[in-house]
Amino acid sequence: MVLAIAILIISIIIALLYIPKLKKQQETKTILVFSILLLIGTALNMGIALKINIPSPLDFITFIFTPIKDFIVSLTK
Amino acid sequence: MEKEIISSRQFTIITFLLSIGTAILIVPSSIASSSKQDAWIAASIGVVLSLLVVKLFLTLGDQTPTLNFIEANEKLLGRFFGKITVVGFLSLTLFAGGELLYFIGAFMKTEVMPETPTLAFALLFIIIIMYATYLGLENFARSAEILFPMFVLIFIFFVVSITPQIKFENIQPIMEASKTSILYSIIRFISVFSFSLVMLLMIYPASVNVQQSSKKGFYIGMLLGGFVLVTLITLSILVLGPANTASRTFPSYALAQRISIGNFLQRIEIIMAFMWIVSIFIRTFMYFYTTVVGIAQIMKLKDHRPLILPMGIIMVGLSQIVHPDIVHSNIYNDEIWPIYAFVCTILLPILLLIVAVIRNRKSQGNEAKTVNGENKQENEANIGNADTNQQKQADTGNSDSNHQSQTNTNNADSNHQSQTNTNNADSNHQNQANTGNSDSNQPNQTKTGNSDSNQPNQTKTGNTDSNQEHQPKSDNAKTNQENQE
Repeated sequence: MVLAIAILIISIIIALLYIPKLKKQQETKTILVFSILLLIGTALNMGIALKINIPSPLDFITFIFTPIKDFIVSLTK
Repeated sequence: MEKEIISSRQFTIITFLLSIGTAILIVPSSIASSSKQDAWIAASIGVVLSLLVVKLFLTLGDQTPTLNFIEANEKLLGRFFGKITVVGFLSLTLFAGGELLYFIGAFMKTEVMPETPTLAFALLFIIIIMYATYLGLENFARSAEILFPMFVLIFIFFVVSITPQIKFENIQPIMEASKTSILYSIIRFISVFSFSLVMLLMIYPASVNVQQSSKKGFYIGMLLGGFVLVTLITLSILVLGPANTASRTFPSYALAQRISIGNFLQRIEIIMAFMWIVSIFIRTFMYFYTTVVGIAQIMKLKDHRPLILPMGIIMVGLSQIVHPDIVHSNIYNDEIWPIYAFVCTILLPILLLIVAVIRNRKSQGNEAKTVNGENKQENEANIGNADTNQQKQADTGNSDSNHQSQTNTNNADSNHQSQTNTNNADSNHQNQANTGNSDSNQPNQTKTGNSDSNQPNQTKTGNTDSNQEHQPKSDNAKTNQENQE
């Protein structure tokens, strides 16, 4: 819990450091991409800190490529 | 983004350390488990086959001399399809980067500091990586230059001090492994060793000062890296034995633990660990750099630096969730990663290369082509016209519209079914006239009168409709083309 709040605070500090600077340079698109990535990262790390069971993204990759793998294995047998 | 240029020597060093990368840690056990004492044969064949991989990357790099890999994707495949392939490629670099952070954490936790959480190592590591990315490619290349001699010295010391413990019985009998297991070992070795070199296409054509000598450097760096790996694998088998090598997660570390000079100089493995920390640093940096710069480029941002901190946070998070345990990681790396990496780092460059070659031939005004080739070209030209117009050549619009009209004439000649529409046929004839005109004016003249006369044809709806009809056919043509190539 403490860790999750710490991550949140760090993320807010990062946002406060960067967004005004980018706003001054009028880079709306950069602010958008930056915020989305920061949001994903914060959510991910808070989930880890709270010990929520997040599925590995590689399981999805494994799911996609398993048929190809099975096919190749069946070829070489 | 300002242009960063590195020298060809720095490029060679980066290639060398990048190709060693994680392979130094995980490959020996992975390939020793499938081909036993013949793992060194598989690794040697893998190094030789990697020459072909490097050849492919270099050929692609030569086709797009001013662009990096991400820009080349978008330029060659059009904005829409380019974005899809880039996202696929970036998913590979992002996940692999997270995986590397997982590896460094797992390695330190299992072998060196068993009570420290892996998050701590991942965090410390990513801070260095983020700092390096923030400073840019030139600073990174200089630091690689400093680390390189240390790496080589430690490696030589390592090899010399482990040599007395070699037992040749471990490697016998030679050539006992079956062909299938050797094949699997080769695939695993190449997938970890040389597929990741595709990231050098972010640097190679655009950001090196002398392209010719960096081409040589690409080969030399790769071969030297392969030499280091083959030596390590051979030594692991010779000293530890095939069964022991296969059962350990990090055999090269176990190898370093065996070093004992006169029962006096012992337990120096943590100095040896410097080698793989350096090589993993280089590789993680390349993954991270590619991801950050790639995201900035597909989003058309001016600067990639603001994205470094959020991406670092994401990568640290990823390192904690990619693999729940080491078994998951072993299965993934042995079975799925080779296919995933093959699709993103070999098939994608091959596709880009085919498109680039055909496009270049096209823009030279070479007429000796089949209708099939024309159709395929036209398909791409359509994508380019409709979606991007991002091309940096001054004459792109002009030449593209010329291509369209050329293909139309061809269609009119060969595919009679497309001429059921008389209106369409008329427009084709107009195109023919234009084609003759533009051909005589080629190459690369941006004559306004000429391009104006071509422009109306481009916007004519009947014409583009007929183009659309040919697109299913062009898929066929594409496969034909690939077969020919």
